[in-house]
Amino acid sequence: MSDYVLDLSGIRKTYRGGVEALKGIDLQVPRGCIYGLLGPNGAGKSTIVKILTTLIRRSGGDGTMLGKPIGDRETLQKVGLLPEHTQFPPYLTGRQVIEFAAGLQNVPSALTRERTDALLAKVWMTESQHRQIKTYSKGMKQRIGIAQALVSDPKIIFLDEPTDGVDPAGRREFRSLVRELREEGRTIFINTHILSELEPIVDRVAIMANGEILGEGKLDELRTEKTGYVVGFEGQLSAKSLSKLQDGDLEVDGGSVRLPSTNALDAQPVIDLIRQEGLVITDVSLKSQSLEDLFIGLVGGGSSPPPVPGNSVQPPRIPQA
Amino acid sequence: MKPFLTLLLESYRGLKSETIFWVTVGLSLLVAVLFLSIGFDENEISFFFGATNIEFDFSGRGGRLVQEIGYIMIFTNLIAGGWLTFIAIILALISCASIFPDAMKEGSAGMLMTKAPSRLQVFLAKLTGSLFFVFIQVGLFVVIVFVAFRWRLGVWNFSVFWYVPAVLLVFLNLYSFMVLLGVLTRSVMTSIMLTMLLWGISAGVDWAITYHESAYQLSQYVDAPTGEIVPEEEVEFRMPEMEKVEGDPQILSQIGTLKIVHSFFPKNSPIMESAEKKLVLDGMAGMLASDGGDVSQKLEDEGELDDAMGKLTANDSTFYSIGTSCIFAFVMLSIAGWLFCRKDL
Ligand SMILES: Nc1ncnc2c1ncn2[C@@H]1O[C@H](COP(=O)(O)OP(=O)(O)OP(=O)(O)O)[C@@H](O)[C@H]1O
Ligand SMILES: [Mg+2]
Repeated sequence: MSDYVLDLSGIRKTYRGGVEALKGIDLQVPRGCIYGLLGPNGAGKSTIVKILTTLIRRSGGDGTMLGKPIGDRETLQKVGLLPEHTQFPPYLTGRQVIEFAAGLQNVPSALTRERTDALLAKVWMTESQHRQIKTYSKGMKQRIGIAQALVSDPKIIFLDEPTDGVDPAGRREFRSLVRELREEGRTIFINTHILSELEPIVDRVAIMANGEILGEGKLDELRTEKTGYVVGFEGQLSAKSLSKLQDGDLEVDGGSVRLPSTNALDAQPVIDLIRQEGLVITDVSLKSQSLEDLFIGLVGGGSSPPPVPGNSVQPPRIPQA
Repeated sequence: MKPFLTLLLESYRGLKSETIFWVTVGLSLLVAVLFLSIGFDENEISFFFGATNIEFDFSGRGGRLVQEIGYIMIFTNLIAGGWLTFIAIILALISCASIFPDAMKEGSAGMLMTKAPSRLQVFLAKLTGSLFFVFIQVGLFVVIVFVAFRWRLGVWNFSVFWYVPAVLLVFLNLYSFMVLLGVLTRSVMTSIMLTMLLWGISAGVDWAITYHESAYQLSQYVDAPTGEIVPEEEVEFRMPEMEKVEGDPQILSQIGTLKIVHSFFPKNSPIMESAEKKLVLDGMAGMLASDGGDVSQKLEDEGELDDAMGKLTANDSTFYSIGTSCIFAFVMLSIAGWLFCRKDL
């Protein structure tokens, strides 16, 4: 058996109507980690999760989850899911939703009560447990959604935009909850486009756009790949210098130039060039990329062109009036 | 088993949360109690447990037996014919119309179909839940009617219980079509509308067959001297001068075509009629037996009655109607179930 709880190769999905949502996804998720799947809207993140939880059928490719082929019902009993647009039966109370999920997942009745209590406490919903779902706020529904995903004591948990609608305090609680789940040996797979969410907790990330994975790895590794000198300056570079810098594969972003190198000597010609223009250097420092930079770098956005060769991603741009 | 029961319980909770469910149950009980409240004695019929009454002299018109037949007629025509075959089924269809489209909504599918139960189990649970709802509703109704018969006619007429499977089968026929539409279109409104259309068409075909059959019977009698077909209203008076011939072959072939068309549709009225036949015959037999009076002596030997009943109830067309209706429901549900298991949600 492979050491991966999730091992996908070449997963494709073409929706009816011809939308190619996934163009051959290869993904390996090791056991017991927090795995973040990042991508802009429409990247195909939810499509992956839906295929794994049998909501939709894949058009091609293969894979295993917990060592069993995708779609195996018994395996799904050990899988928790917080779907993207959850709608629980509005007439149920929060508690009943969790008990309903327990019933569906064949949790023995003797355990259900105890687990429901524990989960309600975990997501801070003990007080509102007897109110009907329709009286809940968005964030409260989301909390119940997370609790019901955990009721079968799952080995792998898929959370699709888990903090959608959750307030800052709730987000912090969420992060500690996810860490706790990892301590218990579970694998947590999180879909999100809110980067700051993942940064403090994820072990590995995959960045995807347009149905393709653009980068994957340990967050630290991905970051060091992208560590380098950043030269800050004040003023406007001439077009000539700008293209010269860009031809040298440097990222120019407003008032800074990012070098792919950690060698201070490599920064000197750049500093010279900027000073020749009569501009003022404000800062020279060694910086590692934040997850956001990494994301923008891979997916495209701001003024930096997508660095991955041959990728056709066009960052969504808001038309300027 | 547990996941399946959980699904059933959930379907029931879902139904219970809808206003239409309570409206249906309430109306159903109201109609049953109204029937229970009708009483009669030698010279009056009373309604609402005697609150109002109409003078009616039964003594000159066959007495007790006529009253009893009248009571059964009220049941078969108004209660069974109007309420059970029509309004109760429409209400039940509307109550259950949203079950499948709702289950397939992205939001609820994420909860229902990503867990241990397979999609087929979810499908069967939802179906069972709907049938159970109708079963409870009709069952309760029929129990009250059963009590009413005992109270007013003095017999335990167990044949009323035939209405339970009959109504269930009629409901299942229409509902199977509705489920298929619901799974295909995921639209509650579309499935209700098109199901009503199917009902209308099948009733229309039913009616057309009856109409053509009586036309054919008429065409079998011609005026002996001239060979002309005798108009319907004159048949009674001109019996002696008529002769029976081969009927109009054209009508016969039309009936054949209609029957072929009909075989593809659910057969609602034939099914309800067979329940009615059972009820009326058993009711009569019961009354005659308990009467011990003049009328039963006319049918001295029991055999005669049994023969008559046998002829009416065990005829092929009942089995044909039930059989083809079951096939219809089975085909519809198989397609719907197959789609339900495969569709992207
Ligand atoms: N049912 C569907 N029919 C047709 N196209 C679909 C369907 N669902 C999703 N898509 C398309 O597939 C692509 C991927 O969608 P998906 O929902 O997986 O994106 P996502 O990464 O989860 O985005 P978001 O961050 O907005 O949730 C999108 O282009 C979307 O338009
Ligand atoms: Mg999504």
